[in-house]
Amino acid sequence: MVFTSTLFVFAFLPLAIALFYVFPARWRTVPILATSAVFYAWGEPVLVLLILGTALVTYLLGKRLLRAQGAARRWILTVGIVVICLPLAAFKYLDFALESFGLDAAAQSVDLPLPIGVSFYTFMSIGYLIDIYRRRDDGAPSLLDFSAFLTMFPHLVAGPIVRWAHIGPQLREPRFDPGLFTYGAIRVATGLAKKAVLADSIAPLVDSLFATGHPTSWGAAWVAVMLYSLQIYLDFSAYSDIAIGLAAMMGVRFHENFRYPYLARSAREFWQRWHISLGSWFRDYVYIPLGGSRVSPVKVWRNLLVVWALTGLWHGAAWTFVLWGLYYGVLIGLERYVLGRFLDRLPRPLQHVYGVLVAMLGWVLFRAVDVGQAAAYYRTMFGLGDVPFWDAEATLAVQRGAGLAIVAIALAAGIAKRLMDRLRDQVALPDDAPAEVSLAATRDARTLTAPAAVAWSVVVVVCLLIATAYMVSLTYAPFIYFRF
Amino acid sequence: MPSEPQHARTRRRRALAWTLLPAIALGGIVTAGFVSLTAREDGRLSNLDGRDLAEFPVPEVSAVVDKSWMQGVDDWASDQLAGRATWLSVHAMVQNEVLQDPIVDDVYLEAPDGFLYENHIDRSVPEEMAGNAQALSDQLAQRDIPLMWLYAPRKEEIRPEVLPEAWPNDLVDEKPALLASLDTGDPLVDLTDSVGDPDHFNVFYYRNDHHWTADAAIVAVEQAAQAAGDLGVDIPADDRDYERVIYDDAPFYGTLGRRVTAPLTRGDDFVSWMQPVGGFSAQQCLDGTCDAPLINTYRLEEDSLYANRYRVFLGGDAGYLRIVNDDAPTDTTVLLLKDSYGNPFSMYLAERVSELHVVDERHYRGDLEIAELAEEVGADVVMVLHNQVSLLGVSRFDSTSWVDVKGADTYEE
Repeated sequence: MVFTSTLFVFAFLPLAIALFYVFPARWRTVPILATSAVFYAWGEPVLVLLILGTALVTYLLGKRLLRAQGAARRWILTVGIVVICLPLAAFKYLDFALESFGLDAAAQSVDLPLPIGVSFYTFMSIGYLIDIYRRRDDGAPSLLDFSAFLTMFPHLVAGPIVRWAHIGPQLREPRFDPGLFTYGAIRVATGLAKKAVLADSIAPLVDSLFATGHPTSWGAAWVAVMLYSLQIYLDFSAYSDIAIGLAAMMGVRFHENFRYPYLARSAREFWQRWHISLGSWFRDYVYIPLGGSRVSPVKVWRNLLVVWALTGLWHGAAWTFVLWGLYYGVLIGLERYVLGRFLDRLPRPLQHVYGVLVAMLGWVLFRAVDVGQAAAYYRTMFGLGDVPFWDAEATLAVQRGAGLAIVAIALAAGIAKRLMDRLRDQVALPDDAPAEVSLAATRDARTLTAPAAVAWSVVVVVCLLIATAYMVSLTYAPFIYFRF
Repeated sequence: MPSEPQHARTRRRRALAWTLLPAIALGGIVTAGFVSLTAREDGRLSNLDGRDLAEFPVPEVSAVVDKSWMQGVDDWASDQLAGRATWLSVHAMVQNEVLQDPIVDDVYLEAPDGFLYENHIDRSVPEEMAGNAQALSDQLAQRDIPLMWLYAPRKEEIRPEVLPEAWPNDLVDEKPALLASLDTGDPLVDLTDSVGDPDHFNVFYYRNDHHWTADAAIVAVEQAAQAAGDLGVDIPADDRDYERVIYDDAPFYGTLGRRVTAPLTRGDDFVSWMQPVGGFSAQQCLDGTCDAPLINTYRLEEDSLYANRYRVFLGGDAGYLRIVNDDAPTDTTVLLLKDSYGNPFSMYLAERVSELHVVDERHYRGDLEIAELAEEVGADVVMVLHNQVSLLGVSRFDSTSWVDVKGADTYEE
């Protein structure tokens, strides 16, 4: 089910929230699991068994891991990771692997659908096992709790990649919290508007400009990349906004997944602001176990390239994604050893220009169908393509996209950042508040003043009404990150 | 522990109530939407969409497994949310007036004189078309019935220069190939010669609809009649006095106006037509009786902002229609194959001939193939009047197969 659909907003959401609060606090994992299964089955009526099976296997492996001693623990973890990764490997990477080994005929005979959200729930399951292995966590007390955690519909199909250590304690007895509920409602309404009004309106412009894969002019190439940069940010961050909001409406706090990534001044900082839950997952479960940055420069380079190749591969089974990941690995390495001091001496605005350019150039690889197309695109962007400087395509894209781009850039640049931060401080808890912090203790202090409440109500009403208008008018428009 | 003072408790409750206000706002809208979805009856025709709205689908195991049921429910929820026309207007207005997008739902809004234009892409002449056209020609030739091809231009072909330069306009690009595919040796009349007159563009085409007007149909009939005369088919000129009838009680929002919704249309259209003084003499035959008027004014009285008032001409599209004219100046019988452009065209042609048989291939359910029908009705000539979109966009008759149309039961445009 898509968040930005009238069915979700006007049928599923009220029913799911009502059902959630009908149950006693201790048993609210039951409606979470039930509604999440329906939510997932709406898009994958058969493959819902796969995610439920993954939950069962991961839970049992976690229990086994908890009881095991000595070398058996490593074996269980290894076997567990392999087993959990099997669906991901089969559904997502088998085709790519066969093609990469020249087995094109075999690859063509493999026609498996990509289960929605498989990359997300696979990583959450792996993280769960590793945390138990490291004795940082005792795991879920029951299969019900773990299944509710893994399938929880707010994060189910496009993250954020949440961790049991953070969510589990909150699922024990999630209670109605007025401040958090309101915070969630505001995040949901603004997220819906961000996706339905902005991202989905930019999408056809971008699709049109990228239709052939070969920009018709230098201007069209840059306009297309700029619009795509905005689209993918608005699209993905909107999903996270809605996910965080929905969870908050159920008394559960997710960590932020985006912190205005286009304000970054380096590639490294970009990834501290973009899809934070994925970056921190790779940091904690791959990069640091490989030695992180506390090893020789050669090994740091190795670690960076491994982690970023995997990050790219996580996004898609294609060499363009691998190269996109390596692009960041190399840039982050260069910033660490070569460019860092130079960048630091640049005026701050130029540092921001560098950060945005890095991201934009990366999106070319991300969007391209193959490496050849990306290379041709780069040639055009840098004036080496046999195309004019400007053409009618670029003009029309600017005419159509200028208004959208202005609003989108303002949002990406953090025009509402102070407001949102203040809102969170007022009615929710800081993002870094530990999971165990009791909401009840601060409940009475987390309130809005009357003028603020009225103002935010206007925001909610306007965002929701306009988003509804777009939802009614638009055909099915899945989130970009659904395919991961 | 001392109990909380009353005033503090009141203040605390009031603060919590204010805090919940945004959530209550969201809850109120969501609940209203939920009630509107669950409480209202399904299945209304939407004039705005020009189709029946989706009804709640009956769940079946196979439909659930292949996800078609879910898609059906999604469509139902999108269609049946109360206030659909308002939502679509809000979307169009935000897109155009707030975000300044000159194109809404593939309709260009910034052209001169308030005319709306649509985008025509991915049109290509199917390989079978030339063969199908030739087959019709051959079958009619065997029966000694002449054939005429009439090509009706759409407004995007007449004024391509006002469209955004970056908009591909396949109508213009594909026209030569299309006309070549209709080159069966029979007369091919490009009505652009008459209705393409730039001085009369504002009269010949609606601002908010893709059709030509009744005024364009009159000049198209004149051009067609002259071409028929070259074939020896007698379609005399109509020298009677005509007067204009304008229905201005309600504006006409045609296909393009409905796509961008009323608030964004730049100029009002009103349905009008030229009518012989004393009225039309030809009459439609319905249920065996030939006394139905060509102009169906009840279509104008439909109490809906987005009513399709173009259906005033002949009452809209019909698979087969017979029109007789007892006062005709000739005994010529014509079989006309047409799309919706042919409705006003039929009216003025029917005034000049004794009998006009009108077939809309998209809806035709007859027992006879076209050539058989032409022979059956004693047609002196068969005219095929189409615009490019209907020729290339209709899959109903297998890429314009005029020789195998009977019995087919669906079409898509």
